[in-house]
Amino acid sequence: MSPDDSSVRTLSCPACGGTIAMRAAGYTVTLACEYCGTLIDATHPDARIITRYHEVQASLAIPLGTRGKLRGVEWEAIGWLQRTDGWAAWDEYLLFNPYAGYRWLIAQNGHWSLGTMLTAMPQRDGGDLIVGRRRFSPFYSGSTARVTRVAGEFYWRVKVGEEVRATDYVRPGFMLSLEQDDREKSWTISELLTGQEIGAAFDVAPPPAWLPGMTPLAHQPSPYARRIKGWWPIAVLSFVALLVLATLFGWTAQPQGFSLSAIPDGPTVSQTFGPIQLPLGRQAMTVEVETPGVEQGWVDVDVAFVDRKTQDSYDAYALNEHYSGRDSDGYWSEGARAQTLKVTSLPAGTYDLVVDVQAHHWGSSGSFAYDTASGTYKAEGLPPVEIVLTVARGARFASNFWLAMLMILVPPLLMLVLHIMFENARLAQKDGSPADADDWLQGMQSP
Amino acid sequence: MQSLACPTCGAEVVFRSPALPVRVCDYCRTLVVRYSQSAQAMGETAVLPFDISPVQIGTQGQCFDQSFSIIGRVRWAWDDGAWNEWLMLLADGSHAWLGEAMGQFMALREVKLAGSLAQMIRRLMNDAPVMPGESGNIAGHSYEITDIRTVRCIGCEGELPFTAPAGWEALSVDFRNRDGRCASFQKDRHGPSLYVGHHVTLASLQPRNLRSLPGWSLHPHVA
Amino acid sequence: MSRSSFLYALWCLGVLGLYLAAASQGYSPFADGGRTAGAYRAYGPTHK
Repeated sequence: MSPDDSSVRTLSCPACGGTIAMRAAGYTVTLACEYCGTLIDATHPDARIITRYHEVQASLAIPLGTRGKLRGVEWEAIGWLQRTDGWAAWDEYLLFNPYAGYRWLIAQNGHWSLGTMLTAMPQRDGGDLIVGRRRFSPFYSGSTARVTRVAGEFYWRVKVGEEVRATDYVRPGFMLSLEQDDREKSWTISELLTGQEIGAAFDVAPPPAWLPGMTPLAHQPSPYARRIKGWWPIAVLSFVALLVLATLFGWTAQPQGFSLSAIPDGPTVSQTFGPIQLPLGRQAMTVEVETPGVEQGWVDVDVAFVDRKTQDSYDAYALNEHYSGRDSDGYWSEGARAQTLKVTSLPAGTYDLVVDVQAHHWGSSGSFAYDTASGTYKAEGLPPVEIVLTVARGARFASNFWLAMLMILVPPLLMLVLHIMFENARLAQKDGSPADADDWLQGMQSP
Repeated sequence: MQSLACPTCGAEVVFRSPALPVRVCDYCRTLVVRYSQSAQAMGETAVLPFDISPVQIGTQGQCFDQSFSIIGRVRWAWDDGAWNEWLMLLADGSHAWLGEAMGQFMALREVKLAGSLAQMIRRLMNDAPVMPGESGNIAGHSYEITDIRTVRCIGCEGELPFTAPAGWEALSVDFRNRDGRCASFQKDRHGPSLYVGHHVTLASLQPRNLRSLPGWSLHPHVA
Repeated sequence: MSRSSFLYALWCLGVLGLYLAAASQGYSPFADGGRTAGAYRAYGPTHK
């Protein structure tokens, strides 16, 4: 069939024969005579062609005839069609350059891909396909793509309702599509374009960023995979640096030992030990409180570092206890006979260690005697409990280390969670066998 | 693009796209409406592009390790589209064909239909139906059918090794494989013929004397 | 280095800096005791 025959005629004012001026605003076109102001009726056949063309053009993200430079080649958008597979709909623009041929721009959910038709068939490898050096995995199958709207020029006369059977294979950033009907079979590779690239070429709105709840395109690469890959060396380096810092600062030195004893249920024993010299600016102190003899009771030890000059006090307390017995399961015991106290940020100076001790024993093995001082019966004759204190400068704060570790890991873990949510939403669309480990691994690859 | 005479003043009015329905004449400022079947069906049907190609008679280049010159053309069409076949005269005096469709080029040379032939070729020669996707061996390589159409010759120009009869119709089948090779089978009133070759890009032909198209600068990689 | 990697590296530097600041002051939010001069005396559960 020869290219369609067309005739040209002038459109002039039916009333006075004068020149018609065309004004376009948004979707509407007005055709009015410049001389007498008569408007051309919308039902006039020529007016219909003009307005219909204009309406379609006004609705397109890239009006037909627009030129744009993409990857060094100037392209003109000559045709547009809209297709659906029953689930989703998308737009396709045909780009043309007489010396470079044709390309496709596929717009779906605000994302743009550049499509090129292949001249050589892909290689098969298991269920995957390989083109160039890129491996594609099956994604969509058994779908039928149908044209719902079409406008402009195409190298074949596209009609609304045309159907092809479509099968798609993906890798991050690329989709390999097979389309066939009874007369032909064709392969196309489409590459997802960045917002900058498509915006610079055709001035379209940038693609929307993914948020949890949205469904990514089948070939949309996970932005979180990129970040995880870039970040984990930094995390490892930070971990090593943290280890170094922890060993540098986690020392204790110059232990000094003190001891005192207290009688269970006796009066509070208070004793001051010292001097304890702190030469450096700010120090933490470690106090080990051991009460090896406590049994069936507790010992409450309050310690306070008191600066001799300023009388500032830095306090902590330990509660040592031990209980044991026998029951149907055998011997049991609970409690700790030794505690390690860590006191923070003592400024330089000379300190006294003020220790207050109180002990208690449950169940007496001695005799009771009336104590006039407190007005109660008190057990007497209980052996005294010995308290051994070891005071050292510095402290190893493992808790600081783990807290820092956690803070270092939180951002990459957050990226991992988001990546999993993204890939779950993306792979949920996959036809055929459900997504397996290979699909997840492929999602981590770079385009 | 199409250059038409303004019906009012006779000045040249250029329609860059066959889909464009109206242009303002630069001289008399009247609206010139291009009325066609396809323009009527905007939204429902596409229009076919104007018959322009970057290749023209006289274009020269390199193919099959030789220099060539384009000396003729046959244009084939089916209901909903068309393509060109350019006749190449190679330096050694033999002929080859440069098929141009959808912006893709196939460089083909005729081979004798003799000896052991693939099943699919035999079936085509016997007018048995084939489907896209069927594969078989041609001249030592495996190919798959990619296109099957009944076509009509709608134009010829230049020097051709035959006379194109009026109403010339043929069955045309295209094949391609994984390496970029391609083949083409044709059967008409006079019998079957088979062509084998490979896909080329316009740039890889190192062409000279391409048609210059107004509004388009020659592609950077193409002379 | 991409922008997000740069920002993450800054974050890690910040964490390390905080760690260093705490360690140089002998500080920890999980310590058993610290300064209580003039402050309330009763703290934590007492087992009495």
